[in-house]
Amino acid sequence: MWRNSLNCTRCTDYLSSYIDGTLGALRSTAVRDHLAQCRRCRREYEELLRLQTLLRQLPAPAARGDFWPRAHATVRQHAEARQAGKAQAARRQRLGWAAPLSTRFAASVAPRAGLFVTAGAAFMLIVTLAVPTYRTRTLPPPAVDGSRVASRAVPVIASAQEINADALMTLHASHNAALPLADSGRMRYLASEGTREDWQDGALDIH
Amino acid sequence: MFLARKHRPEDTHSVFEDLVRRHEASIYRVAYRLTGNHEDAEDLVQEALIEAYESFGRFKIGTYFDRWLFRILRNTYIDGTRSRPKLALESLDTTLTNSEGAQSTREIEDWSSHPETRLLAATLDEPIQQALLALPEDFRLVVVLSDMEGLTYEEVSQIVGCPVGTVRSRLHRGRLLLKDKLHDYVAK
Repeated sequence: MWRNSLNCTRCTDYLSSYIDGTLGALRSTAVRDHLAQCRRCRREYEELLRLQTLLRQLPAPAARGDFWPRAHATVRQHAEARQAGKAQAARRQRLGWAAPLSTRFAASVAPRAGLFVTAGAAFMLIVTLAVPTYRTRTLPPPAVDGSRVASRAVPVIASAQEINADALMTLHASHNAALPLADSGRMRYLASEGTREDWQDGALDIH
Repeated sequence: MFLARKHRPEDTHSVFEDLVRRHEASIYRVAYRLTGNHEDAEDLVQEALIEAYESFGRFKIGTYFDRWLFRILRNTYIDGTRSRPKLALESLDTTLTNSEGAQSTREIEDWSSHPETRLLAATLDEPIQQALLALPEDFRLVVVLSDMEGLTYEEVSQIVGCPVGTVRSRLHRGRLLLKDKLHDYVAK
């Protein structure tokens, strides 16, 4: 018979459920029978019962002072902030691009400010690295006639640090014949006031 | 049927607040028994209330608000426990060795001789709370909800999110551990 197979280990496993009244009728009977004959399991059962009584009789810890008013006020503030955020989002959606620029900026740009800063920094890095390369690649200028240069209107950029000043002068002379000096501010300066030494400091743009 | 969707936002908040007020005592009780001190219990309750308010639209009419909130309380507590660094426990009797190799022991004031502590120790609250805190979290939660709040296995199962059989097993093992720790009080 099943009830006869109940040993101390199994009985102990069932004690909690037995105390809570959640054990099936058959097992409850088996546990009851076992407890009647086994002093060790009965002591275990009594201790568990006493523990449960202690836990239930423990005084309830109460919140300190004004905790609950503060807690409710915090939830209320959270609810209001949430509602204000929702109202603002709804207004933005309703107004679309008719909304004031400041509102659109606050809604779209400000939260992504970090992204914009990163993108700007990346752009500056690319410009810094790419311009010298571009200059190098555009030298030396092709020997073309002036009308062709004028019609293409492609800038030829030379640097005094890449070719010497005499070469730059030659380059200017060859292009100057085709294009008016007024097309190049930097060249106009060189023609009127500059010296060869000035060229060493920067680039010479020839259109 | 969901409760909060039927109300305007300001009404939703007042309904929520009213429900919380009705269950303040049990909410705080569970939070205190889980954390073991007022500071952490207050933080836990506050955080759980915000979480509950955010989810209030999913609270169903006809279900128990306190059980629903206990579930959020439990999740908030578990999330908080996971995010906290685990403390390395060391016996107070451990011999300390300084950088020069000299050994010493800790000198700790015996607070048990203080009148206030004696008074506290005179009640069973402190030893039981300490024994509870020594239990694994899963066991502690089940013991608190079942033995202290009087919830059924099924209710605890829904709050904890595990099968009833697991609740039964955790409760039994939790009780045995507690019984061992509180042997002086429960043994005849």
